[in-house]
Parts: sequence; structure tokens; C-alpha cells
Amino acid sequence: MKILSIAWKDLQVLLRDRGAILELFLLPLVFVVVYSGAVGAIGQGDKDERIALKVADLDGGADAQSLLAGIDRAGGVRVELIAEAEGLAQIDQAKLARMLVIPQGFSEAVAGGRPAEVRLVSHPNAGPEQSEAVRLVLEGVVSDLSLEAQILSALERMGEMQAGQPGAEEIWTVERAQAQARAQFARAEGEPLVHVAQRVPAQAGTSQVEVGMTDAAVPGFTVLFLFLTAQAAARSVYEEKKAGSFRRLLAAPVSRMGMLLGKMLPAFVTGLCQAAVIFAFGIWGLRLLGLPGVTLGAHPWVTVLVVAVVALCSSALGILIAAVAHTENQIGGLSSVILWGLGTLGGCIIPLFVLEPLLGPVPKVIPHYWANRALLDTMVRGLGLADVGVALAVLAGFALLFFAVGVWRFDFE
Amino acid sequence: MRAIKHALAIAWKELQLLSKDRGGLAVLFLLPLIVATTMGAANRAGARSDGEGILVNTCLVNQDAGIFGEQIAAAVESIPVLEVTRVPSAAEAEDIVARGEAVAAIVIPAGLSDQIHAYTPVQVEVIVDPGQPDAASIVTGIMNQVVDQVAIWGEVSYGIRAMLSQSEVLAQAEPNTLRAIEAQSLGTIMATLEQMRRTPAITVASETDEQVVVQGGFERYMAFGFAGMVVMFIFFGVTTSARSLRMEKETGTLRRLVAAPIPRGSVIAGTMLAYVVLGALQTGFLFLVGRLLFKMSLGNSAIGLLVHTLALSLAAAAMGVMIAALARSARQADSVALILGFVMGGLGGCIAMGMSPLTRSGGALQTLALLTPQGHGVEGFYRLMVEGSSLLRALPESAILVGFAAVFFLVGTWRFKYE
Repeated sequence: MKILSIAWKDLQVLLRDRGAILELFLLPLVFVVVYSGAVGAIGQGDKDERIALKVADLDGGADAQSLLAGIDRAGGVRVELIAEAEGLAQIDQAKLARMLVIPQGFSEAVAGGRPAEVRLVSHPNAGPEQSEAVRLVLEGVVSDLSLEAQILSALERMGEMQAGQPGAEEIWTVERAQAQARAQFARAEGEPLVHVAQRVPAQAGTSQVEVGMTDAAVPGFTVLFLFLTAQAAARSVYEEKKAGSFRRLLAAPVSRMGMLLGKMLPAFVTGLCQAAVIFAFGIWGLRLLGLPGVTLGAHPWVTVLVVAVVALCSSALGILIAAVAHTENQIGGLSSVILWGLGTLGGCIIPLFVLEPLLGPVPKVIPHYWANRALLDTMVRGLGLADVGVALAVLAGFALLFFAVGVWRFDFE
Repeated sequence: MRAIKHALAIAWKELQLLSKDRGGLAVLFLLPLIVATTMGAANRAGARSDGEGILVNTCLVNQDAGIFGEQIAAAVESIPVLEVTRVPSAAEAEDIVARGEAVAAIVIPAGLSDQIHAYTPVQVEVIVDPGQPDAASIVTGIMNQVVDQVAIWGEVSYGIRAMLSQSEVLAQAEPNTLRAIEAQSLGTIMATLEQMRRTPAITVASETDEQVVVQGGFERYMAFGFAGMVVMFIFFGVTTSARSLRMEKETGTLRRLVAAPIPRGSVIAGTMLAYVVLGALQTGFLFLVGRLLFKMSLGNSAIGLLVHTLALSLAAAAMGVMIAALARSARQADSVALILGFVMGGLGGCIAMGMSPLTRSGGALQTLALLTPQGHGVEGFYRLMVEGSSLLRALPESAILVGFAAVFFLVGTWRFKYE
């Protein structure tokens, strides 16, 4: 009961600190929107979100038109026509990232079965992801477009080999070969012979075939900011000590352990509220902004449990910081560096698949790593309690360790 | 002259206070270093062209007993960026991806070869981990290219069979003749694929514009990435400067300064000067580390870097004054400056998400980036360090930053209450 009184008092103090409220609740939302790469899609709604590709069509023939239609149909890239000289000038001035040039005589070459070439001219600093996406689309369309020519070429070659066989002249005519190639090409356009289908695992929290950046960003930023509440807990203890009210608390009939638990509790509750705000924004707020929302996974209660354990770990870390930091600067500055640094190394900002090969086992000694894994597993991968059991146990272990060291090192005087 | 002397004295006092704030210094110097070097190291690993760069863990399930399944599997295994593990069943592979232990699973279905021979459309499945979207799209993109060759084989083979089936002679042909025709078909298909590989009917030639001279890819990225970090953390200095000015008010030392024979402008100018120096030191420190650790390009114009750094630091210092003037308390100034720093840093493109600044991205993002001083800060450094441009080309960006500084300063001094 006394622990609850201390916690209630701390929560009332926190609620009056508008700055802290903004940092704890608004900043995570800023991160989700601005730093997940989602900001570019806000307000797009039904607008064309495809990458714009300027095309200088110097040919203007039927096959050039088929190529342009194919690019437009393929998805991901939008064709916009431009004059070659103007496009090159814009690339020189870094106003344009890339341009496709269809040379004169392209259609004639394709129709005549001769090799043809299109040029993708890029500024040296053009974004590699977009360039790769454009290149993949172009390669795919060009491959489809050359399918008819390749089939035709093969049939003609076969006709040459069969020459002299009885009835060959009747079968291997140019008209028949062309008709056959055209029929196969038409069919392949609608239904390719070998198709690559992407999907997510059946139990994943999302039913989308395409996976978005916010799906991975929301859990990462939730973990980052849940651990930042440790700083608020440490600051609260420091300010009590500075104002002398901590000594008064010592005089009250509350055990020292109970006093520290009373200090941990508001940080724990704040963490839960913070996660609730971030998730509510992720589920409904992102949709209001025209972005795909996130889900709490196939087992929402497991997600809630993970958040509770992370909040517990964070509040215990707050006690540890309060125990080892002796000045306001150490709490405000050094702990910021540690918490943000651990967040970076623990996969909150840089994806774990990039960090793990780079840092080896290092991320595994960071609580953020386990928190990230657990939240991604529940929210994005839709896994259950059994699958996140190890991560939860490790986080609980961290919480126990932080609290034990915190109690041991805490200067109550 | 006396006003300048006073301003310098106040700047010196402010710098002394800053040097004692170890926590603040850690945030301004150590934190950007940790973030920038981790990102730099991650990108260096990814940029390695020797095939030992970042590997994408991929499971492969080949349920096909025929030749095409094995061809696709062999092609996938030969791709350097993929670390392929063969798994016996699709369910097991899906489970591995579902647990996030592999980025993707490629499932080649049973009967793929038979279906291609029978000219029946067939599907190769790529199961991707929604927790690692970046890496998943790499695997799907690669698979689209891998299956192309097999598809061509099936198409050509079917075309030949379709033409031959129209022959009545073939129906009555002897086994030796049929074997000869099959051998010819195979030869034709192989020749077509070889021709397609050597001289594709249509090629996409990728060229870079040779008019623009730039550094190597990694050095270019590092210059861009580090510059973004520098800009972002210079503006985080705004939290310290705004809080410092508010604290002077709240503790009453500002009133004492105003009571002294010091022009009021010198108090503000002195504080700003200290943060301009701090910004320049931050920039110098981070660029030096970037140069030493990652051979980051610093461009060809030292004077350009200096001018741009000073303009950027001036804009940040003036923003600190404006926030201190508009905030009601030191705590509020701290929070508002922090949130603005993150929001404007993100919109200004301080975190490098592509290879060029957001100020060149086009559309709404470009407009937003151009509205922030951070956007112009990044653009100026980009011109100098990545494109190796002269001071003259970066000067418009520096001038815009000075313009921002003037606006912030005017609003700040207009609204600042000394009492």
C-alpha cells in the first residue's frame, strides 16, 4: 500500500511535467512517422506512388510503345516522356536521377530480329535502391518483350535443321512460326510459364503479401522509447534526493526495498502507457495518415506480456542508473548516450539482419536486442508465447540483475 | 568595440560551463559518433564487392525431382549475396522464416519440371519474413531473374513441339527419326539460351552521366551519412543553448547581467557565439573521425566547409535563442528543442535513406526538406563533400542558412524578455 502511495505521488509529479509528457509520448510518434520512411507516403491516398522514370523515346515505333506500356503495366515505375537533351541537362544539374533512352530504329531492330539496346542513364549519385528497382522492372519487361523474338528465332533455327525432312517445308513456314511465337507471347503476358509468388508465413501477424517499413519500425521504436523511460525514473530519484524529500521518505515506515519498488512502479506504468499510445497510433493513427497500420500480432496478449516485461526491465534499469549516476549530467547526458547507443546496437534503428553479421554476438548482451526480437516475433511474425519464451526469460534476467545491482549500489543517505 | 568584448567574455563563460557539462558533451560528441560509426560500419560491410558483404540467410526447398528444379537451386546457390541452406520440407522452411531465423524461403514445387515440359504454368513460392522487409525484397527480385531462363526453355520447347505436332509425317516416323528430332530440339533450345545469354534480343545498358565527377560509392555514402549526422546533432545543441538561456533567466543571473553595464545584445550574441564555436568543434571532430575510420571524402574546398559549418552553427544558435524566447520554462525549451530537432532533422534528410539528399527527392518530401535549415545544411555539405564542388556552388545553401539565422534571431530578440 505504501509502495502504491509512493508510485501514485510520482505519477502525479510526472503528469504535471508537460515537457516529459511530450518527450515520452509525442517523440516516439514522430519517430514512427518521420524515421520509418513512412513520411513520404503520407497523404498519397490513391495518388500514383510509383517511381517516375523519364523516357526519351527517339524511336516512336510499335515496339517502343509496347516497351513503355509494359513498364507502366509492370508496377512500381511510372513512365513520363522527356526530350533527350533536356533529360541529360537535368541529370547534369542533379535535378534528375535517371532517364531511359530508346534509340531511333529500336522497333525496326526488334521486328527484324536484330539485337536492340535501350540506355538507362543515371546520375552517379542516383539512389541505388530506386535504380535497382527500375533496373529490375526494365529487365523483366525487356525479357518479356524479347520472348516472342526468341521463340521465333528458335523455331526458325529448328526449321533450318529440319530442312530436307519429308513435309518440313509445309510445317516450318515463316507465317506459322510467327503465329506460334505470337500466341505463346500473348499467353505468357497474361500468365507466365514460371511465376514467382511472394507471401508471408501463414502465422504472421500481417496478412499482406507486401511487407512494409512501418511493420518493423513500430516495434523497434517502441523498444527504444520504453528503455528511455529508465532515464525518467533515474531523474525522479535524483530530484527527490536533491530536494531532500528522499530523506523524508526514509524517515517514513517503508522498507528500502519497498521505497525502490515504489520508484520503479511509476516508470513501469509510464512504459505501459507509452506502449499503448505508440500501438494505438500504429494501429489507427497511421491509417488516418493514409499509411498501412500495424497489428498486435496473432496473439495480442503475448505482445502485451512482452511490453510488460520490457517495461519492467526498463524501470529496473532506471534504478540502476539512479544508483550509479551521481550528478544530473550523468543522468541526463551519459545515460542518454548509453540508452541511445544500446538502442542503436540492439537493432532499434539499424535492422538486426545488418547488425548481426557485423557485430557477431555483441547485440545479444544488450536487453534491447531481446526486446526487439520478442516484439518483432509477436507483432510482425505472429508467434506465440512459447516462441518468445527465451527472450522473455533473458529480459526478466536483465531486470533482476539491474534491480539487484541497483539496490546494492544505491546510496540511500 | 566594448560590445564585442562583452560578447566574447559571455561566450567564454558559456564555453567554460559547457566544458564542465560532461553529459551534454557526451550527447553532442559521443552519441553522433556511436550512431554514425555503427551505420558506417554496417554500410561498409554491405558495400563490400568481394562477395563477403552482408549475406541474406535464405532457405531453399527443392521438391522437384526433375532437371529444372535443380537448375534453379544451383543458380540460387551461386548468388554471392545469398547464404543458402537447403531444407527438406516447405513446412520446415516456412517455420524457420516465421521464427525470423531466415529472411526468406524459396520453395520449388514438386513437379515443376514436368509442368514446364507440359507447358503448364507453375509457381515458385518465396516466403518472406515480414520482420525484415528490406532483405526480403532482395530475394524476391533475384528469384524473378533466376526463373526467367527456365521459362524461356519451356516456351521454346513447347513452340517446337507445337510446330512438330502439326506434321503428319511425324506421327508415322520411326524411333530413330524421333530421337534425331528430339536431339535437334534440344540443340535448338540450348543454342537459343546461349544466344540469349551472349546477345540478348534487347539489352538494358546502364550508364552513369560522365559529366558528373564523384567519389567512390562507399566514401560518397559516408560523406553523406556523416554530414547528415553532423547537421542533426548541431541542431541538438539547440536544446542546450535554449535551456542555458532559460536557466539564466530562472536562476536570476540574466537579471544581474542586464543590470551590469553590458549591452543586452551582447548577452545574446555572446551566448550564440559560444554555440557557433561548439557547432564548429562538433563538425571538425566528427569529420576527422569519419576521415580516419572510413576514409570519408571531405571534398576539395576547405574554405567552403568552414563557411558552411559556420553558417549552419549560426542558424542552430539563433534557433536556440528563438526557442528560449518563446518557451515558458527551461524544461519546456528543452523538450520543444528536442522534438523540433528530431522532426526537422528527419524532414531535412539528416538520416541518409538513399544516396542523395531529400532536397533532391522531388515531390512533397523535397518541399518539406527545403523548408528546414537541416535540409539546406545537408545539401551544402553534399555539394562540397560528395560532389567535390567549390565554395561558390555551396554558397547559396550557406546563404539560406544565414537567412534562417537572421529570421530566428529577429524573432528571438523581439520576443526575448530580459526581466
